[in-house]
Amino acid sequence: MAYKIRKDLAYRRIAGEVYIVDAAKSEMRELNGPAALIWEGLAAGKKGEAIASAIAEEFETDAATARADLAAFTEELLAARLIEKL
Amino acid sequence: MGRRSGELRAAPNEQCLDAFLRSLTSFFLNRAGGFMLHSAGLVKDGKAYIFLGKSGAGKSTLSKLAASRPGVELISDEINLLRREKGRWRVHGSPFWGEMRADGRPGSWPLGGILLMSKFPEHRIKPCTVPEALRLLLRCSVNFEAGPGTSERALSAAAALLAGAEFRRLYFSKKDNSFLELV
Repeated sequence: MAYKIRKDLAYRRIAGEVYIVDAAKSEMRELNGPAALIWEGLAAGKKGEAIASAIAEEFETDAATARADLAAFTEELLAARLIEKL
Repeated sequence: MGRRSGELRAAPNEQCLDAFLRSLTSFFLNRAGGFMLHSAGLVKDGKAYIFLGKSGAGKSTLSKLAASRPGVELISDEINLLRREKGRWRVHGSPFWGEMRADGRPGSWPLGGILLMSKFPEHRIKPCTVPEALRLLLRCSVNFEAGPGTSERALSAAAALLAGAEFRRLYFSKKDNSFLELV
């Protein structure tokens, strides 16, 4: 399954964390660690396998754990309506 | 705005003009990588200090206390304008005031620092984290457009400001203006 970030969101990495601004709702979210990496992977249009590999490499975890983290966080992002299915 | 011309229809009164000027100023500042900040601002020793706080944080109280101190000059007790010029941040006076209802303070000064306000029984100053500074900076940033372009520009400017200015948390009491010695 492929996803895209909602068009009307603004985001930027600042001092190691990714900040997402939802101007329509006047909300700001902060992501760090694997969550920030997943967000940036989605923003760059990477496939799930590539994002999971990046997580496994950056956080020295096994591929299965990285894939599970990615799946769980993607569900959270969908539930929060920050990303959409393509 | 792209056509550099237009027509404004508004009731001929001070409130309408004020609202129009605020919208226009924030529009251009956002595009210039600057900020219109809901804040108190003052000049001390030739440098401008910006005090950020949510409604009720004490911007008016702090401004009144600061105004009574010799050598300190208020820029505004409500809206202060920040812009990066030749790589350095400067604070500009504006005609936008709050409770103190002054006439505006023309001029600009180099930014000395940004202080996040917290009421407290005694005066203290401490470092603050990037997330808390960014959160309050964006909350106090005045923008009348809600598009992603505006947010992207505000985030970009915030990153530049966080990298180029000192942010600290000021705990202050309304008992006196000696908190200015900490700034």
